[in-house]
Amino acid sequence: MVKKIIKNRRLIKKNLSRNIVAGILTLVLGILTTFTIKQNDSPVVLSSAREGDLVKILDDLNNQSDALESELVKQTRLLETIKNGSSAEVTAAAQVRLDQLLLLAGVTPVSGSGIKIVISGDTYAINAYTLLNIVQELRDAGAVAIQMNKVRIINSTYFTDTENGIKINNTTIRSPFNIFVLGDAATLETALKIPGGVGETIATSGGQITIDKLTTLNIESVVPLESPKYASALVK
Amino acid sequence: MIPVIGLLIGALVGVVLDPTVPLWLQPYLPIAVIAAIDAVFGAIRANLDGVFDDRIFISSFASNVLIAAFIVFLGDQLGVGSQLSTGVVVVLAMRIFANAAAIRRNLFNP
Repeated sequence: MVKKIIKNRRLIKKNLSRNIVAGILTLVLGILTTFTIKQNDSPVVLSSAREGDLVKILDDLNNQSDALESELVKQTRLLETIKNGSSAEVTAAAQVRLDQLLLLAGVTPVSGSGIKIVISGDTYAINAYTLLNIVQELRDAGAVAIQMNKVRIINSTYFTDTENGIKINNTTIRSPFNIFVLGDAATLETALKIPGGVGETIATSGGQITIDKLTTLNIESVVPLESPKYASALVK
Repeated sequence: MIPVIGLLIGALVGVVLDPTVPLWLQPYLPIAVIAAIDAVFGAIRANLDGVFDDRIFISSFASNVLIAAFIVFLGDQLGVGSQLSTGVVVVLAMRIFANAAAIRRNLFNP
């Protein structure tokens, strides 16, 4: 009897130790498996692509990397010139940057080539939303500067419908709207005349829109430059 | 029971930890996993046949993993790494199938 119990106990103990060993090994297996699966989770799109596609992708990547490399060289050179160059070069680079920013901010009159848009119609055809839409289309088409009835349109410009017309910032303007836009004339015209676009919307709701391409065009109106009150630039 | 729990805990650990497997180890990991699965299937079969031995399990587990990794390593050195890994996977998969068939027979026709 006693012998049998001892034998049983030994058997149980042996079973337990076997189980634990197996458990440890399966634990290792579980870890290994999940690690491998995670490793393989990365995109495998390329492995199933055809040879021709792969060649095309490779070509694209090569072109891209070439372009990026030349860009890198250019920027590195610029950095070098700014770092060790004479003050004249630094001033020139700063001037270029300043011109870009002035153009964006709309604080200086600008001239160039572009288009003149004349829109007329009642408030049903043209409201603040229509004008905003036009501005967005023009910006998409690469407009550099926009002026509407002597009001310069910049990033903080807002449009509001009022009883007397459409309020742009603090100026109320009424139909007809003369919009001057600097930019690539062909692209800008296409953007407005695209089927289902702004031009068609205005025409179907009873307004008129005419577009003239101009080779020389001045935008005289400016917006006052306000010094930021709640934020300041981080200069490095 | 304990092996199943071990497997689950291992899977959980693998999911929770974000492993960065060293680059030189990456080609060998999938093969090692297949080899380990083969060892586990062999152990299940032996257990059902009543001849399970933990020492054999440990040695087969370790040797399977190491030999599989070594074969792939050798193949890489010889320039036939991908073909040789395919071969290893095929053989291990065949063994897994054979073991699975034995386990099935054992379970359904005791």
